[in-house]
Amino acid sequence: MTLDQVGALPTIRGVSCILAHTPGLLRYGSKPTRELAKNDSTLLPRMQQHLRSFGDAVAYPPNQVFIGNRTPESLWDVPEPWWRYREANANPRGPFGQIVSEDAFWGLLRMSDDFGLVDIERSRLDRSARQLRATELWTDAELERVVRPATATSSSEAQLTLHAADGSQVGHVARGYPDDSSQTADILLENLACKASGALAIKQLLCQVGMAPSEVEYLLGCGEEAVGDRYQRGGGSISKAMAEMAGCTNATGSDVKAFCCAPVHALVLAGALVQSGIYKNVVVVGGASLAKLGMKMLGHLAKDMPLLEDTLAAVAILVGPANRSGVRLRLDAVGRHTVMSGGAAGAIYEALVTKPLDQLGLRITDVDKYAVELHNPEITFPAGAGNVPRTNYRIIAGLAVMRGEIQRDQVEAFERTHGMPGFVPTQGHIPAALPYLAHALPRIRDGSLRNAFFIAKGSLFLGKMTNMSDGMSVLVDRAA
Amino acid sequence: MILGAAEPVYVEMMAETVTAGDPTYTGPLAGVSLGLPVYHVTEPEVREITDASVYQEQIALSEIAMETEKIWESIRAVRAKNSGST
Repeated sequence: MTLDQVGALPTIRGVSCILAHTPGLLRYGSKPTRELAKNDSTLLPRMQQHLRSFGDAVAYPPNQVFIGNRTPESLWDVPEPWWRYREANANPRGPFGQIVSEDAFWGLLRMSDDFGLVDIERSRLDRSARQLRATELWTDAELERVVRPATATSSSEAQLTLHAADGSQVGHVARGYPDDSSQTADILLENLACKASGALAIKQLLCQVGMAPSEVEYLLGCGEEAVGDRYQRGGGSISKAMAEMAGCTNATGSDVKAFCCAPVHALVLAGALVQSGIYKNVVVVGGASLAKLGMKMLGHLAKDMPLLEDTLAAVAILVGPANRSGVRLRLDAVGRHTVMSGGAAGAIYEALVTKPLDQLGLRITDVDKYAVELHNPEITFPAGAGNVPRTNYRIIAGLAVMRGEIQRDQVEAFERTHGMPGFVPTQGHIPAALPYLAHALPRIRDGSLRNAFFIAKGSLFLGKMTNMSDGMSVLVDRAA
Repeated sequence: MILGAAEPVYVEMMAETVTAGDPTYTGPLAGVSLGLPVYHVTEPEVREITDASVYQEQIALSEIAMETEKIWESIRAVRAKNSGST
């Protein structure tokens, strides 16, 4: 790539991060559903005793980091366990986004439903509409969709009952086509939750950057939900559904699928669409993953902790054209885990870290911050899954040792100097590096951070089509 | 049984699972005592019998990243507890 082309690199214009605290929906996560099916009558009451209030979810320090009221690094100083530490005067709104309550989310689910699938009590929807109006993101016409009469038609056997956190019934979700295993009520709920949260993230993003929804030309969805029917189980494109809900009338979109690796694939593709001149404004959006609510709940119950996986998370990123002072997406050195790379940690990290950095003439220690799989360790640890970001940082540090850039006794410190504690809910693709982009953007703009490197990995083997995993990485920086 | 996990606590749990039985009582090995000899891939006993070039290619980087002292300590404790020798 020539210098002229480097000068034309696309830029990151904005990032939004939203959370929806949905303790009532937790029971519809994949793990809770399977555990509850075992008919242990003590499980549901035990789960309910361990649900958090909205206030507790807002005051939870990692959630405050997610919406930008705290830095990730500030978590080093929060005494563990973080869930015992309630942030005083915690604000559900932050510079990157907001935390909405389940009451508000019922309204978003209703708003996201074009087929009369979701039926929710009118009194709750009135409350939802009021809460959503207060967010100042939705137009009157959009809010009207929250309270319009329901037209759910499927028989009660095919319905799924929605409950609030206290166990009271809230409404129902109907199935789609009869006898269609791809459109059972639980699958449609999962997809609608993804659509609703993604649309909220898009609205939030456009509000933050001051762009009219009609200016967005294309969207790339990077979530993991399979939207389709019996003949095309993962047909897609949830991104266009989100675009419609968010009022992006001049946009179309498509979905990028690569398990948890998809967000970085999508970011690179978005940059390429902008740099090629095909589109000017492209949004990358990752909706929430309802299936992952309560994923580690057995570990949390065993440790008598609150069920911390009670929160849906979504992220949206606006990629725009080159700008002299903008934060550049370094498409001239994208890291990718190829088929040939194999499965050993050394080969994977060479493909994802040292190869692209070599192309840019940078050492590992020249990167100020590495954003890796940023799972909140307090969620994963009690279930035996370890501290995911720490393992990643130690391996990158190990690479730096092997290249003679640091000493072996500096491996421990690398996490502090070039990394951060995990702060993201275990929502599959959402912890895949990009939530840190919201933090990096203002810091690169103000010069307190030179650059940041984003690494995502995907467990392709879970899908049983290959034993391989996948990985993608990209650097963002500011023109000198 | 050779383990490769990086987290000392997790290594201990897995080692316990394949020797005395699943300590968390959540999996199929709950209450099943297999009594298998268990080692971590980075332990000298394993490393010494491994092709050096394969070890370098597949394990070396992960080894730097792991807290091997803690891992060895916990897996040795499990072996000692379940076989009477390390």
